[in-house]
Amino acid sequence: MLAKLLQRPEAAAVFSLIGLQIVFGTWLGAPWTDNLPGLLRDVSWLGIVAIGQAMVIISGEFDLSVGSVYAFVSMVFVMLVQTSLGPLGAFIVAMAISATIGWLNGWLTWRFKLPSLLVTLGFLFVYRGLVEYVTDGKTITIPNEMRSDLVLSVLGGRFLGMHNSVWICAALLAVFSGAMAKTQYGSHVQAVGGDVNAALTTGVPAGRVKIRTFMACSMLSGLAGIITAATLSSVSTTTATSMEFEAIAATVIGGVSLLGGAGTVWGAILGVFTLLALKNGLILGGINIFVYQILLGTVLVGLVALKGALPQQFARR
Amino acid sequence: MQPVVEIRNLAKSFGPFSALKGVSLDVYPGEVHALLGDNGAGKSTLIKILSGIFQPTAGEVLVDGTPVQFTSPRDAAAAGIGTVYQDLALASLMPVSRNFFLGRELFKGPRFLGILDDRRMDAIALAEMHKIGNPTKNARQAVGTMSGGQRQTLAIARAIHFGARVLILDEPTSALGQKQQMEVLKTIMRVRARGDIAIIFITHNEVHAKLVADRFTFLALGEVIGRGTKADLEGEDIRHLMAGGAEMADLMKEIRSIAA
Repeated sequence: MLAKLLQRPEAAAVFSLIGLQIVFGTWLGAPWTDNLPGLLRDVSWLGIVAIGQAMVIISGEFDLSVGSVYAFVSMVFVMLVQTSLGPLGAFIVAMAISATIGWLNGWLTWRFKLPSLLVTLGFLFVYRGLVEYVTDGKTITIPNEMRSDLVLSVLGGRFLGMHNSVWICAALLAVFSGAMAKTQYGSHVQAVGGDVNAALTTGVPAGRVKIRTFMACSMLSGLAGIITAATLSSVSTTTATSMEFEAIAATVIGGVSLLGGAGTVWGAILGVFTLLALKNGLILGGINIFVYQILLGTVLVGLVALKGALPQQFARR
Repeated sequence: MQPVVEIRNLAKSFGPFSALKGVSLDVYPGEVHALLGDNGAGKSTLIKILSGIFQPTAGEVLVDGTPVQFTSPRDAAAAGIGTVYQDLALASLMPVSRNFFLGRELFKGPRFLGILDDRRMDAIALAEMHKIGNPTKNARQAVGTMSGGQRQTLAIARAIHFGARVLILDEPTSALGQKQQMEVLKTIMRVRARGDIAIIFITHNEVHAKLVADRFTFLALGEVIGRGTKADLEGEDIRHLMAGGAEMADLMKEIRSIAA
């Protein structure tokens, strides 16, 4: 049982997470445990994005635009909420925009055989630029009188002492884990990421699979952005900056292969949990927050080096 | 009995270059027809026409005596022509049974959910592979952890399961070690023993061809330069034909002169 777990690519994240809980739990005591609901809320925000990022990486691509899409879609949502569309209409339109953004990423990548790293890097700037241009650098907010609206409280409220985003993230995790492990779509995502020529030869519609995966990723990023906007009632130009890198780092820590074809969505969530536990623990422990970035980078490089040093451990699935 | 596939005066040009210059060939059920030739002989062009990737410039292809025109690999597959390419079209990180059914999965539950029936796929994949070889008992094993011969068995079993009556094996032994090569040859003989499948075995290894083939066709520069049955070639030096007529003795003399 333990030997089997050790061979799984998610093992690093599982053990780091348990280790961090023990270390911060004993060191910080009550402040750490009291902070757990807040930590889980942060995990759910980045986690929803990481689910999509993990699927895109398993499909053999990258999506660097997730942070900008997150900010852009939440801005659109906040602006539309105040129009005659209302919160539900704003939600539907914002999700449709997310889907279109994902479709464009996927279509450009597949149709013109472009590296997705470059396509989505371009859009990272485009959507971030649009947020800055439209808001003119100012924070925009949802008016107070709207905050009791049903849609906004479903997305931004609490249930059983937990932020609803935690429940939403858990539900999405269950759905996408199941889809990746048990359905034709999941199987095809792994196939196009592992060996696109084999997939094409056997009749897998590789382009459609990749485009759908980009759409899922952008929609999840957009959804996370909308949830944050509904919770905090505001969006600023710095919302979700460098989130794309945190999402990719979490995905790698969670055992997803950067070369595509292997990894799990739940591994990516564990990676997010590991990252943010480290970040929160350092903040609560009163350590300079910049140490987090240094540690994050070190952990990442160390992990990649470890994979190189122990290929037989990581080659198995 | 009529041949499953018959090719008459097949030609293919790419601009001014003629890759095939009127090649004829046929293959019967339960027969292994070896297609031999050096690089550039036209073997690949011939396979690509038979598997629907290229369209011929002239000549015709008959399946069960009826002329056919393939415009895509799908047409060829529908007509019962299964091509097993050198790269085998296998995703090495994925399990055996998922590879076996890749693109042609079996489902359970409501169809729109696309839930895979892994248990049934495992059982069928293992059963089909064990008919022609003995590759693995674990259908969830990643293909990348299997030997080259086992992978070949998987790819051949897959082609047969999905209705191939003509198997085109593109250099199936070329990238393998000695022992694995023998495994593949045994697999070919088991498929031959079924009696209902015709095999076109492309190779440039004359020893392998002699071990399994019933008939031989030699290609060089897009033309048939020799053909015969097993009996015809008994004792003949296939190597002589393979080298396009160059005398083996001359070659050996040249090689020795370089070494000296």
